[in-house]
Amino acid sequence: MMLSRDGVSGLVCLAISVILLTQTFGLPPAAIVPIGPAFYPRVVLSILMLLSVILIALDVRAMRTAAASAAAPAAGPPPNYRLVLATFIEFGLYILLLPPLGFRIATFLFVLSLQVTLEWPRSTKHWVLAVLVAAATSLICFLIFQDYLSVLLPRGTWSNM
Amino acid sequence: MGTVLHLQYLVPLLVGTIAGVIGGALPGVTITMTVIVVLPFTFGLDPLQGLAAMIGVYVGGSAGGSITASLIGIPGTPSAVATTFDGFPMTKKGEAGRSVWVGVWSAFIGGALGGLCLIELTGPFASLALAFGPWEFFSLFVFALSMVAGLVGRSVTKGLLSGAIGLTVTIVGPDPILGVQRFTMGIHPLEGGFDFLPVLIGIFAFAQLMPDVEQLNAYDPTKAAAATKLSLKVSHLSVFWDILCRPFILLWCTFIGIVIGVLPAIGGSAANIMAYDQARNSPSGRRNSAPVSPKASWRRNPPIAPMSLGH
Repeated sequence: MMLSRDGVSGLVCLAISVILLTQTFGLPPAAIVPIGPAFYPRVVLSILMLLSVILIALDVRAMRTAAASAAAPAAGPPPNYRLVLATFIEFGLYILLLPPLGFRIATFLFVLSLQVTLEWPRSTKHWVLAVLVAAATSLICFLIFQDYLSVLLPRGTWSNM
Repeated sequence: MGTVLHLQYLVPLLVGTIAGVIGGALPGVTITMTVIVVLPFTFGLDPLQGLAAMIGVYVGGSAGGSITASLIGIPGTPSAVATTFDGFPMTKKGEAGRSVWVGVWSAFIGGALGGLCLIELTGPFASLALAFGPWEFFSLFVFALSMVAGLVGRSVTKGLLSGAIGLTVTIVGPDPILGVQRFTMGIHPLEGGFDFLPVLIGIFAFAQLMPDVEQLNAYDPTKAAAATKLSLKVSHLSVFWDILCRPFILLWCTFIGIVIGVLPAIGGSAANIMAYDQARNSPSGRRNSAPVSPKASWRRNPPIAPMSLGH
């Protein structure tokens, strides 16, 4: 039986809580006081695990009820989960590439890839526009934060930019 | 009062307020950062002028955060989080002007009342704040967490799960008592834990962006442009009346903001959520939360969240 979004969210939260809960057993116990650094995380993660299980159970029950009553599926276009996943992957790559490439190059590549992913440019003019927007975003953010606000932005270890 | 009402102090106050509104409106640029940016410009002013500018920045920033919270659903400052709950849905319904101006006027009235209280009650409140100990802070944190129960909406499980996820995020990083690193997995940037502001912006920005990305296939630019023509024009008298005709909510939320604001290390981020919860659960708040009928006029039901900015 396919789970709905609630069930999938519950599964993800359950997995996270189980993984982190097993990691709490690797934390050192406190020498002087009875409550160590693992106590509070175990309480919170146990609550997270319990609520995840409840959410999954409620979702399974709701899906069974919906299947039994043969409820009509909601009208509307199907959600584009691939695009959401691609966006998340691009965010992750941006974070990973920020230290080696530096802010300016990484931001340029990120904004460009996001524009291309969300709407593939249909002509040379659109490509030029996408590149200009990416370059302008990167440069303007750099100038405002580095030069005007004196916030140091990361320089790339590979590019030194 | 006689000292302040001179052009030499009103001009820095105005400039500081404008800078504060701009800084507060930009997600990620906090009021503190805006104060730091404006500070070098005050070195050439006399102390009262500099102080007027800084106060203008602070007050302007508090109101500025509600602008982006209302218009794009991303709070400019942590104290504008509650404004996104009602303010942004109002913008989506075409009431952008009313949403923004209720927030701004509420901030003005709340700030004025807060200023009066500051003048008269600083001493007693300061004594009360200094008397707060670990037990009182713990009680306050439990009370703040219990606000989650008031904000869960239709699904209690999902609401509580959201709260648990929030608590899980705070676990990453050093243990506050012994300094033991928890769940950093050897990743150096995680050794300081997660900062509140990036998490806040990430949660709200992603929550707004990802549903739009999901439905990108169904996006019709012509329909979207026609449906969401943004106009900030509004009758200020009607906005003012909307606020003043609910004096209990306004005064109670302002009182909550004053009391919570006095306490060290709590601040507007907790105060606005508490005030929103109180306003929503008040008799007029419950009446206004659900439409009476499809023809119910929302213009008679002012938003709760922008008014909680009165803290």
